[in-house]
Amino acid sequence: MKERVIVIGNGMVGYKFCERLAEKDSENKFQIVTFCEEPRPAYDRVHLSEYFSGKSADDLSMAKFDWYEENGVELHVGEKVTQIDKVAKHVITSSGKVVKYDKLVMATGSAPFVPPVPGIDNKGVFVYRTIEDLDAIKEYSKGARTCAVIGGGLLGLEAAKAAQDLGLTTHVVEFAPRLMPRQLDNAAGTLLKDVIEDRGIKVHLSKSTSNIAGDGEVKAMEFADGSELKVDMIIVSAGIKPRDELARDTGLEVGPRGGIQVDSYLLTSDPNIFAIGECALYEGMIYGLVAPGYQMADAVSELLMGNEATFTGADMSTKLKLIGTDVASFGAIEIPADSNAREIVINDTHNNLFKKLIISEDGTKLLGGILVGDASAYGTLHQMYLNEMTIKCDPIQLIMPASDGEPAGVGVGDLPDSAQICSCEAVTKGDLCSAIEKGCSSVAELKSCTKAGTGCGGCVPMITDLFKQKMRESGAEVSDRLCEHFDLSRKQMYQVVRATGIKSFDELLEKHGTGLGCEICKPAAANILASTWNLPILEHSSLQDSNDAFLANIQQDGTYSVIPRIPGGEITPDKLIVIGEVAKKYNLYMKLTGGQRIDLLGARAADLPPIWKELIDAGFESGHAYGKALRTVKSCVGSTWCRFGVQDSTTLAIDIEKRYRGIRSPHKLKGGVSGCTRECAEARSKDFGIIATEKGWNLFVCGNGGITPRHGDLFATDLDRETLIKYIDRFLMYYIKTADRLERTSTWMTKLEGGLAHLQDVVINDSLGICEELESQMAHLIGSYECEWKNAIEDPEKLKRFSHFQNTEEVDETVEFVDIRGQICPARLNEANEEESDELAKA
Amino acid sequence: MITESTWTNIGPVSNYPLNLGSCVKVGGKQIAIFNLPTEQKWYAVQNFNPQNQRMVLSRGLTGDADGVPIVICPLHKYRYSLETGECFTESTYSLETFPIKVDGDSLVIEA
Repeated sequence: MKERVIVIGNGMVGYKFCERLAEKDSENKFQIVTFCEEPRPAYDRVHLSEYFSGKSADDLSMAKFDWYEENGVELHVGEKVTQIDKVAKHVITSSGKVVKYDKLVMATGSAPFVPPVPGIDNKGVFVYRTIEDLDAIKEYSKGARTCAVIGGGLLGLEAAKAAQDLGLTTHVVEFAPRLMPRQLDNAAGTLLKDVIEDRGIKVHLSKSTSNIAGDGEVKAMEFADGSELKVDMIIVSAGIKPRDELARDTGLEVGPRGGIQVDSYLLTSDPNIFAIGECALYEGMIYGLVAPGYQMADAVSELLMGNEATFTGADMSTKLKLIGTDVASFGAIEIPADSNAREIVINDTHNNLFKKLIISEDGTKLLGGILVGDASAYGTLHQMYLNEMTIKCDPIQLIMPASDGEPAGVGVGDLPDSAQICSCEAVTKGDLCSAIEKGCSSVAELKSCTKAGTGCGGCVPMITDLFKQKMRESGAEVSDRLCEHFDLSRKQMYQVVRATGIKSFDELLEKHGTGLGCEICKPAAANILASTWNLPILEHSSLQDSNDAFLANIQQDGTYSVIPRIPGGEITPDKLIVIGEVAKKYNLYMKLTGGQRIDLLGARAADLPPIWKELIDAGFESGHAYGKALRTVKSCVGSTWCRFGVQDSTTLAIDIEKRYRGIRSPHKLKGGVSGCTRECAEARSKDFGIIATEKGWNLFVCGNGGITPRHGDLFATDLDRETLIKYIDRFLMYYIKTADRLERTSTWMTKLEGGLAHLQDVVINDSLGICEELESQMAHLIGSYECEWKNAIEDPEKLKRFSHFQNTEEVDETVEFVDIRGQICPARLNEANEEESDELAKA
Repeated sequence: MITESTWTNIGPVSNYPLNLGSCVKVGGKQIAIFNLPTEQKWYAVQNFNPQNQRMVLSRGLTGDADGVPIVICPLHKYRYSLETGECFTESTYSLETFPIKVDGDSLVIEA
């Protein structure tokens, strides 16, 4: 005979309990029955606001109906337990069912606390708890313009964001003198207020609502200080009150201010009734977060299985994104009274960042902290706090952004196996490691097999780090060998080429590789051969991606683009006219690029040589837009024209672009030169960026735009031109020598051991004793430059490759264009034919 | 229906350099020819890239995957066996292959 467990309430915690017990109960000892007063099974209330940003109720659900069926959990939705008879051990439901239990678990949760303010019963006052609440808010907002949220805690701010997303002018009204009074101190609260107000939400602090004016519908809020706020609707988010009414009726012990009293076994005053989640009161505390609720659920499931488990309080740390801003706090947020603890505070109102740490008197232990604006360090700091790890550095370094963008301090690797990485699902580092050892081969797999990261998701970055690290340790998976044909990394291949004088891929493959090569090792080798010996790139044409093989970028329709070099973006009218004429003659689409030059698209391979012949005759050169090479050095007009410019940035940009043109590097290179600190050339987003000062030039390195933008690091200041160029020579050559294939300088820098300081040491102080060699290698590359298009059009052998067919002079008739805004664009497949058949159909 | 096999001469072998792809037109079809340093040496597959439906495969890099000679599409790097036409990157795609051989100084293809 199975024991019957009835679970009252199917919220997140009630569901989690069912899940845990079903999972552990492999012998089917228990029959689980759960009642849910809401019309749908448990859904994710933590991410409730996402219902407004497009998620459906279904997306938010914790488990589909099928899950309950498959796991033998009897689910009754829309059916509330109205009575418990603890003597007869049965419950009575709203539909009149009488169901006996052996064990009862109360997971009744909480209800929003609605302060008893006169007028609160006007139409237009809402709470923010269920999907039905959100539906009602959405509906009412259609006729409203202004909304006030009562409560500036985390849920209140969530609600404010939702109201703003609905297009309402939004106010937050908080009784306390600061926002999020439980999680933040005054300074952090002030900063958060500024950030939120910047985003258009008005914050009113120290406001006690004395009356809600209205004539059946909300019109205004009146405050104790006599002020007033006109609003069309109100969302109340002033805290929660535990749903303990059923427990009271049953005669279970409840706290003086509500909550079902439980002991460390989560047992109520009745030995067969447990309470978990927000309805439970443990040592005078209601745990209004999901993670402690899950811990309680887990503990009760263990106890039912006959195992030892207790709940002795939980960590109330939180990390959230509120109105686009990271907010996190853990442990103590103020120096505890009667302690000699110290605090470290960075209150950067300029960048809207607040970071505070509470540390032990001797600076070795982290007792708590607050992060606003940037909570990227939270994962690490929280773990250090939970595991009472020793701080091994100057504690301020834990919250100072290091030069390479990585926070200092400990990584996930330093944590003990017992460290809880996912607090929602109570998954430790040890659990994750053993799952990886048992064969989880991706972060997604790791998440689905351990459930880590599936709750609030805040720990996913740490899980990813841990996964990568374990993979690295195990060797095989993230080996840096290029591909199956070479047992060398790019760096090693570069060293081999340079040391042995190998000048062809065949020789390299014969001596150091196997097989025929592939699309990974061939272009990498061609790139290294070019970076080392600088022979015209078409000498390696069988190794190159289509781009380098045709000296042009292949487009989605198989045609190519043509980009002549326009150094520094400076061009004469005559040259501009030539570009226009060429585009016209060959019917090319024209567009300006982000690098201050002109892209001509839609060229057939066979037209590339005549197009380039005309461009070269007019004085143009290859722009290497197709190569892993220097693209452009963007510039402003500098002191020559600009009334703010302090140096001649254009001339410098042109000189530098010409200096490094054609040099092959692990990935493309971009530069920028700005004539003053206003930075109009966006130099800090470039691989090397130069910004003029009164005294010379500041050099920034390893910036990037693109998918992971990164501002370049300030490398050296007030340089004269000669030193500046010397440093760039060395920097670029060191990058070419050591980076991985297709690794931009920004990624290279983040992986570079020692980061910026190391790079400065190598380039400025010659710490490795290689500067002379770097300079001479760079001098060789600069000295052997030759425009590869000029070289190609003078060599009939090389030009043979450009005709579409080898056995006929015909052109490829599958390439077709249509007109868009007066220029060509690639026809969609069969678009031309479709038009034709449309015409036929009409006729 | 039985059709007589028809071999088409596509020109001198020397027109087709080692390790490179070339495109030829045979009976209205575009065919990509590859010359690799393998025992078989010559390979012919459709030039039409099934993944984005453009005539580009002859411009792809060549190589091998576990010893099987391959062409890699120049657009999105899908790998295709030159022996069977099978796509190793996405199994729903495949290429038509054509018999090709040397006849005297010329290459001939049956398509």
